[in-house]
Amino acid sequence: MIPLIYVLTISLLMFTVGLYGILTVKGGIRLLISVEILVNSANLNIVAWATMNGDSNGILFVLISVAIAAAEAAVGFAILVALYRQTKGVGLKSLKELRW
Amino acid sequence: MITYTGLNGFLQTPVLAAFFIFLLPIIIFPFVMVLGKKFGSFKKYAGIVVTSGIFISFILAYYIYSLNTDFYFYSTWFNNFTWGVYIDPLSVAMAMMVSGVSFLIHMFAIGYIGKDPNKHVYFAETSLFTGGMLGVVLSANMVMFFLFWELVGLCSYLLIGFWWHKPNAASAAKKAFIVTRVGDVLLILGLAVLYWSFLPVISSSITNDPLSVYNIINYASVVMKQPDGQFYLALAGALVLGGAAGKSAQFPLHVWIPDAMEGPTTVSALIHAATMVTAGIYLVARIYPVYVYASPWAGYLVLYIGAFTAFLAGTMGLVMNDIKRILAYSTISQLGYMLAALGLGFVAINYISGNTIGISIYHLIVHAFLKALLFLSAGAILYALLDTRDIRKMGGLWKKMPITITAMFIGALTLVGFPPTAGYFSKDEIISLSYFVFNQNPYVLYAWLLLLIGAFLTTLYTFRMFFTVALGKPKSYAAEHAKDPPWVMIIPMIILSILSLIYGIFQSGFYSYFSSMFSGQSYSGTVSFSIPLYIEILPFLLVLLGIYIAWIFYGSHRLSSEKVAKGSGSLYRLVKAKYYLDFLFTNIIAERVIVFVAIVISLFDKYVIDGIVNGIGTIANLGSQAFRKAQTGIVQNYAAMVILGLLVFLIIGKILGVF
Amino acid sequence: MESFYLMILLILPLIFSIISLLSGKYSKVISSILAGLFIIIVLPFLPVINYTLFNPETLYGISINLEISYLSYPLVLLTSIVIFIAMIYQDGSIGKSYFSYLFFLEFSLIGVFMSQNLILFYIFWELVLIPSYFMILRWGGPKKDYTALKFLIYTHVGSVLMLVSIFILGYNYYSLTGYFNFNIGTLITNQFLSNLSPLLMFLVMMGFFLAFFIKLPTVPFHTWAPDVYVESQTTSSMVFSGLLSKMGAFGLFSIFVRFVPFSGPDVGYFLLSLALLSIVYAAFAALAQKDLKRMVAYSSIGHMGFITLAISIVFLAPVLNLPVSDAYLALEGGMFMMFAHGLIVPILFGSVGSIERSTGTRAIRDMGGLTKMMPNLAFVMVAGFLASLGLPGMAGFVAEFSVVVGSWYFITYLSFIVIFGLVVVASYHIWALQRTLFGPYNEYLGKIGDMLPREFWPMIVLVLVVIVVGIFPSPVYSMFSHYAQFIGGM
Repeated sequence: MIPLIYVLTISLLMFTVGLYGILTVKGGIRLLISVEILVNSANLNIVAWATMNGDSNGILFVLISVAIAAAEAAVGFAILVALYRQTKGVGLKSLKELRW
Repeated sequence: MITYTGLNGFLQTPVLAAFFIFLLPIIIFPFVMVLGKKFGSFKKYAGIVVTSGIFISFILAYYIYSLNTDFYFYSTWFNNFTWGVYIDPLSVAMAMMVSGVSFLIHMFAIGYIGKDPNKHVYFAETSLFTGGMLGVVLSANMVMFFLFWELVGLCSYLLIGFWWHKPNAASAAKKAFIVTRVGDVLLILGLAVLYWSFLPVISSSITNDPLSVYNIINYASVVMKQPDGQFYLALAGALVLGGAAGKSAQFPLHVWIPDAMEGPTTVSALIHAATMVTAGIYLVARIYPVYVYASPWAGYLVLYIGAFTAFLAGTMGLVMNDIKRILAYSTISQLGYMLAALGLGFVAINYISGNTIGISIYHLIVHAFLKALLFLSAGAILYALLDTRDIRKMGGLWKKMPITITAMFIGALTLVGFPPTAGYFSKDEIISLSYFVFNQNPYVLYAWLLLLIGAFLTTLYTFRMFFTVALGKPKSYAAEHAKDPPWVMIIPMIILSILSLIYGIFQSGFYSYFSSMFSGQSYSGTVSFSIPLYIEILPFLLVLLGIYIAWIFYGSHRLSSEKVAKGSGSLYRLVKAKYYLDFLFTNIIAERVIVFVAIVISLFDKYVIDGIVNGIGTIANLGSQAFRKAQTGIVQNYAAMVILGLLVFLIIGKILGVF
Repeated sequence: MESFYLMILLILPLIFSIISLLSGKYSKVISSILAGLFIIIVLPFLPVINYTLFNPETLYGISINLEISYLSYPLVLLTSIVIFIAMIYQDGSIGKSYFSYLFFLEFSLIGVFMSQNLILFYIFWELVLIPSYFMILRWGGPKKDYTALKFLIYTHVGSVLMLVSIFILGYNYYSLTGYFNFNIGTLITNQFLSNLSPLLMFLVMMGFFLAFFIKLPTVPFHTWAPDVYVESQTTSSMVFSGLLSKMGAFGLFSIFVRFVPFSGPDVGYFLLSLALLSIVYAAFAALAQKDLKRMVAYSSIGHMGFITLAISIVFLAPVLNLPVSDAYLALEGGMFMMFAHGLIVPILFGSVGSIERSTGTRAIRDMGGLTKMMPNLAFVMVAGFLASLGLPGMAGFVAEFSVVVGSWYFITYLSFIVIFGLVVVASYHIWALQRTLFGPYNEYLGKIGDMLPREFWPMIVLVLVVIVVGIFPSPVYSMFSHYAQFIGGM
């Protein structure tokens, strides 16, 4: 089997990439992609642990998580479409209505 | 001393009569006020109603006098305090004087006030005043006494400012109230000292009220034996003297009386000559035993304030040109004599047997007669001369207003103490007494000298006034056309003149009437004394000298007073400016210091204290201004915050060992 | 004596509040009649009556525990009288919500005076703020926004600190007995309080101190008062100055004095200096005011200084090794001052309100010789001002005299400061009278009308009541004597 540590490292790297992406990207689509990466890194982590322990609960959890991630991506895109209609772009800079 | 209490006691005839003496004029007050306001036709009867009410009070007072017993009624008021009436020779004599003289002055006022549209207000207020003054002299408890004392002060304020649209009158009323208020608050403190001094010692008395007159008179000796008892009695005496000085216009609280002359002359006669100003003397006499048992310095204080005022006011009377102001200073001066007489009684307590209340009050009553007479004759002159008050504009009036001037002459003779007028028996007795005490006590030398010189000054200013007014040629149009006033104003003057002339007969009877006070004590009975003849006629010689000098300057005009005035230059200016005392009080203390402090405090309040309050608000505001910058509206910032917070939380948890 | 009617007494003003909202344009008439009825209803509830609804142990220590004691009866009566007078005085065109607020205020005030449970007390205490805030905000003068907010926040700060104190007490009780109980009779007793550590005791006293002394108000926590009394409607000022300040005083006399056995000399002397400061400072500040209403506001603060003085005397008794019975005279004077001042200050504000309505100005220098055009006002104003400066024969004198005489024994020569304050008080009152009512008439004012009947008659009634209470203080005074002895017994 693939050693646990490798998978965990990949997961960590993916997590970092996703986090960095969320915090810094300027495009709406890139944000959603970062979110997906983040979620998937968590999923990967759980799968790694689950297969190591032979516990199927973890795999089940990941399946549900993937489904939820897909739904959430759909919602996110819906918001982006509304935003596009508003501002003819999907840049995040314009979302400053709740500013002080 | 018979004591009554409870409803049964209240319903006894003497007690009811005593209450009606002062309640009747007070009850008349609202009636006359309201009726006069609602029904214009009532106004002309206002004077008669009030005068009759006061006459009834006088009859009741005479009835009490005829009973010839002392009695005391008390009933619970609030806390320990009681209210009631205390009848002894002092209160009866005062009550009869107040109601009698007030009655005569009211009769005069009916003519003097004439057609003033507010005459119902005038008579209502003087009725309230008379009732208040009678309440003062009949009160059985010092709190009740203080209530009537302030009531009388209130009426004085209202009546001085009777013509309130005159700014001088309004200002004079304000000054009178505030200066007497200074005295009053000292009196309150004096009562406080008395309260706490007497409270522990009266458990065996018939009433638990430490401020009841009965207790104060009878238990002062017990208080003296308490630790520091003598000191506290003296402190109380000094504070009470402060109150008396305010009401009776003694130094240094005398500044309000000259200004008070802005009111109607009958007000000056009633309040500032015969009655209210005597309340202070009555107060000191009423708590006589307090001073007897106090440390001696209290007695000296009384003596010297009285003697000094007698002298000081005499000097100021010499330079005034307003007839009413001359009489006002004269009043202050004579009150000083009364106070000094009481002071002599205190100071000499160890080597005389008896008290000086009789002597002091005798002069008080004689002075009431003569001062009322003088003010009323001045009133008649003002009435005839259309309110010209400057004596330099009068003159030659003895031909135009013979009855008035004769009355004034009798008054003047009584004032200076020319035998056989009553004034000789009253005032010279005080001066002789002061010499007698001086013989035993060298510290009293200055008192005797002050009183003696005061008599000389009295003669000088009195006859300066009289000669300028009565003799010579009329110096103004009004003086040329003066004539005697109507009969309703002449009769009181005649009655007062007769009283001034003959009251001397009653001197020994008067003294023996007072002998029942303080029965059983070493100081009961009016003190009797004798001094060498050449000292005794000294005041009379001074009177003759004074009349002669006044004649030279103002009668025959052989010497000119203007030259003397110019010659003494700065001294003359000093006296004329009332020794700058008035200036000190009004311009410096009141206007500069106190108002300055007030403005500083109000600015401090607005900018500093409120500033701190507003400052806290501003700080809160600034804080929130700073913190709200965290709301950037950019979601990623919020996400970063969340993650940061989570990290901090985890690290702290790790450090604290939670994880 | 236990009686359910206390609940009814408490709820009635709330019901009246709703009724006046429904009365539309007759609100003033109906409200005045109801307020008058309420006075008659209050009268028979002579002390001591109490009523408890819930057992405190069951409800986390909260219970509806009401009592009319010798201290609260005069205050409840005073509340009903002042609200009635204010309603008659008030111009009906102000709208029905104003009268509704007044009744709601009456409800919460009576709740404060009757509560015997600390949480209930706190609830009513805070409830008072709601109608007051709106009364200032909706009908105030030019600075109303600032003033309403300042009033709300300032007094609220004090109240919240009081809440902390209440919780400290409650928690302490819980840790001792395992139950919650917030009744005053259980918590504020010698037996329970002796369990507190000195630090906790200090914190508890501090909370109550701030709440009560801010409400009173006393210098230096007084700066909300001049603004509030000046910017509000005349009748609002009457009620605020006449009744809300008594809330603070009531708290002092019922809760704060019970801390005497646990406080050292510093508390007594501190309170004494606050009192002396209040009296003199407010007197001087009043002297310098150019706005007549603001002057009256400062005079109100000064009068409250006498209450502080009375309280400080009670605290000083153990310090000077004197029996507490010696402090009774001053204590009774302070309590009587609550009652007297509550009756007198509406007269003052009523006079100023009349002048403001008639001449359009409150600036003293614009007035002069008003007696010529407004003789009725002159009578009322002179009577009111004389009552305020403590003229004997009127209620204020009984209070001031008792406090000054009663405190001499404790503070001897410091009394000279108090009487100096009294002289300044007399000065500014008389000076104001002279500048506004007397002297020549200021012709620039033109022709102005006198006091309206709706203004004049309530003021005359109050003047008469003040005089009657001044001559026969006994009925009310003896109640306070009873209460003083009750406190002394603790």
